[in-house]
Amino acid sequence: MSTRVKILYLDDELSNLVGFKASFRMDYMVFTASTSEEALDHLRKHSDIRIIFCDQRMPEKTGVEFFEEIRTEFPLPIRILLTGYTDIEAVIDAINRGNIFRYVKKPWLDEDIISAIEEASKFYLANSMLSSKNAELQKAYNELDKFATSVSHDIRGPLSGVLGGIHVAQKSDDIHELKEMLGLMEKSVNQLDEFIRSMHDYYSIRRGDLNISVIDFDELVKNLQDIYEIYGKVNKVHFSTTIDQEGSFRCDELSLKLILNNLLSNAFKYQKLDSENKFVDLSISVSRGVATFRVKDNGIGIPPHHIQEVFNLFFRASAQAPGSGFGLYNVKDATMKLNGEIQVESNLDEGTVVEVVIPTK
Amino acid sequence: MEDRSFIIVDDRELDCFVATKTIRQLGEKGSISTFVHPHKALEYISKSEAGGLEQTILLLDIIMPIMNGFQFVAEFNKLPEHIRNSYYVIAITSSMNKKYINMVNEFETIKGMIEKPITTAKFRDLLSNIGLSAPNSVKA
Repeated sequence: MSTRVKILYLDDELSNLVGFKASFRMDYMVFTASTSEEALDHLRKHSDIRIIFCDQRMPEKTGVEFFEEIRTEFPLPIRILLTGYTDIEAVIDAINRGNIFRYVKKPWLDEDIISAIEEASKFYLANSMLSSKNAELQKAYNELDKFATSVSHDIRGPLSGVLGGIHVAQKSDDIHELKEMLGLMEKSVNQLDEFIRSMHDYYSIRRGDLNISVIDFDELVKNLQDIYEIYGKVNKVHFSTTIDQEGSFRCDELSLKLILNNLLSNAFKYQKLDSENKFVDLSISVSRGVATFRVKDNGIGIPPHHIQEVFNLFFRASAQAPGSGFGLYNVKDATMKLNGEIQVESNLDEGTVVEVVIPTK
Repeated sequence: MEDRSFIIVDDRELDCFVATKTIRQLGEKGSISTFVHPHKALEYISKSEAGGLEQTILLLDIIMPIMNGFQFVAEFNKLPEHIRNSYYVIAITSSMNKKYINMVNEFETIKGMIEKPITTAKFRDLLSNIGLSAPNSVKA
């Protein structure tokens, strides 16, 4: 372990504090306090103190009282009492009430202290692992909750639209009306299809392994151009790309494609419909083993109060074009998985710049 | 009595279309306006000349980006009383989950709820539940 375990010792007898520190400072980082005020001070400054030793007999309060007091404010550190045989009743009571982890009798043997520290440290680590696992679980539950809502809205929504269309169509003889409806139904089906694809992306990023290879940016950009230039022509959006590469770059190609595809499709989708010179610009630069991807557009931009939320699952900041609320969430997830960083700058009505920085593998 | 009119607020074009056709199939002759952007519907409503005898039925989708149905109602409730009184707000949703039903019940403004897809039968039932009836009371 690179960092030493932090330990706090509270005792009103200075000679005990000095002796304790002298014995254990080589193996642990020892903080000492002769009053409860001093002890609290240390706890507030060092939130990573793992173990607290406390003397039972002190003039202002007993060790058991001190532990009981700090328990709510500092629940994490493991509490160990130092005491002589005469206080045994108080100690048993405190252990039973869950206020202390164990006790070491005074005068102590160094081996007893060390074994108490090792045991307490293990207990602390198990506890904190449990709470971080708990936090992860909570996050997974929250996402599952969002999924449940989204299944009804994003999957059932387009389906019930199509179903409604069928009901209406069955009662209509107007061929124009029927054709119009077919067009709208097609849109709904495509939306559903896109949703299912993005859901697949979501899972492949979550569970999938990275497949690292040398990235051929010319090839990658050529593929993107093939897809987006046609789209750009139809919608009159000028698409430009630049590559500025020094040295090779290794990465997971699928994740990179997912990131760039989502960023570009957003840039093309959220254009100002009536604007004359719409553009999307993709620039890629690689230098010293770090690739920077920049996607810039002069589209509708993101309202400032929504900019924090655009990476949230199922969040949508615009109704201009159909979206699943998956895109930027997946982009962020993929970027994180590649140890990269992502930044968005946007001005309403002026455009958006998204920059993704990823180190080579 | 004049024909009542309709406003449909739903971010999905197809759902607006289906609702419009369903309403027509019930024999309603009044105007039907559809909005895929909720704030545009609010603007339209706030500028509308209200206070006549005619009733407007407002079909409101609950889950929409930018402004959801509940946010819409919160804004709607800020409008002058004489405007609000000429609207019947009906929530439409693709999921009848408890959470939404409870939230809908908290809003006095929302008089009813329909699950998508909207059909003539469902719509007719809803109208009679809130004390209105469809022009075509014979089953199609």
